[in-house]
Amino acid sequence: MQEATFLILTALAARAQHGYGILSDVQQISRGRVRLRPGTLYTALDRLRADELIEVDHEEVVETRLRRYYRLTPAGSARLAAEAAQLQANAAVALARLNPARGAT
Amino acid sequence: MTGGTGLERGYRRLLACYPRRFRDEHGEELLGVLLASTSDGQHRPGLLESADLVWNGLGMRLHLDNSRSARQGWSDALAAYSLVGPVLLLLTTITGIVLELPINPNPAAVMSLVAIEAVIVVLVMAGRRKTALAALALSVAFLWLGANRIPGLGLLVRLNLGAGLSVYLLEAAALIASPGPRHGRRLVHWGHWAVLPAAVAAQTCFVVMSDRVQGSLAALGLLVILIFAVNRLGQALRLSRSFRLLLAATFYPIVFWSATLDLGGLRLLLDLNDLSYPSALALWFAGPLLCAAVALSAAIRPRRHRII
Repeated sequence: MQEATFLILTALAARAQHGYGILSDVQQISRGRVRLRPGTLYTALDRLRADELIEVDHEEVVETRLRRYYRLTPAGSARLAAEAAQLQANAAVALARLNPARGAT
Repeated sequence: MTGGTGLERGYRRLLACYPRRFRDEHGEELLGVLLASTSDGQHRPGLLESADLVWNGLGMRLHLDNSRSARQGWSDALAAYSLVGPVLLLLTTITGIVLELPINPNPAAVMSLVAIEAVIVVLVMAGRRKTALAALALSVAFLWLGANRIPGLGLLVRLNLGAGLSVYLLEAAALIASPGPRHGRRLVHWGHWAVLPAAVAAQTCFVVMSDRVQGSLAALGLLVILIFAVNRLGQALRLSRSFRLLLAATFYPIVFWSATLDLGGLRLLLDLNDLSYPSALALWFAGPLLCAAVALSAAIRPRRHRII
């Protein structure tokens, strides 16, 4: 899974969000390191919907413009959980090897 | 947000890079986010935003995204092409013979060409992937020899060297990367076969016209119109975009050949009659090469895993 995909799924993990909300949240989650552009975000959202990892939660019209909220599907939650567990396991091994004394205690 | 402003018009123009399906689904939503993301006083789309929209839009049109459906689309298109491509080439050759045989005084060579192409059709129909690949290599060698050494193949080989090598490049990609012709048999429907006569007619009309009209700007124009017509027909017959791209790439060498040789444009830089120039060959077959590379990459692209 690419980092952008991981961050988008993470942004949707707690609650449904619209496009602009996801952009802001991704920037916040990555502490400003990743700044998605709208074209990239919607290409990813379209792909994630096609892969059935996210779905539309609800829609509303704000100032005559459509605003669509997305949420994770059960498959999306499972995929994100598996990816996060994998990353956590890898990170634990890396930290243990960098600091063997701390890992032994 | 500033509805109907120059900024919005600029974004709408950029959104045209995306396919209609995407615009219908996400166009207004994406436009809202783009306008909400702009800084105060901005009157036109920024360079990076523009590049992002163009890159993602064109990538989506070419099915370069990494979605499961896009990968499946290319894989299925290649499987269908592995059956349809050789039939297209055989029909083109036979049509060419019917029209050109009187000026081709080497019937034995012409018949050999037909025999090899027919064998490839039989092999792919029988689902014999590896044998078909070997026959492809033989046919390419024959075409190459025919273009340079065998007298009397004339226009037939000129047509076949362009269309033939183009089909074989794409066919090789299809046989290597797709689930293969057996899978293709399950995917191909009457629409795939119905578009073939139009594709053959397009190539044949071009060759006949370019041979009879002095300076074949008219022939090139006709060919381009016919290619668009074939594409529209494929769309009406519900053929996938990936398959239609593969079909269009088949025509590329004869369009390029006509544009460079008959219009004289690049003739100053390249002598395409001398097939020993690698640069000339690369340009001549850039269309099918690029299309085969895209199809291969999408069809066999592994799921990437990046450590964050």
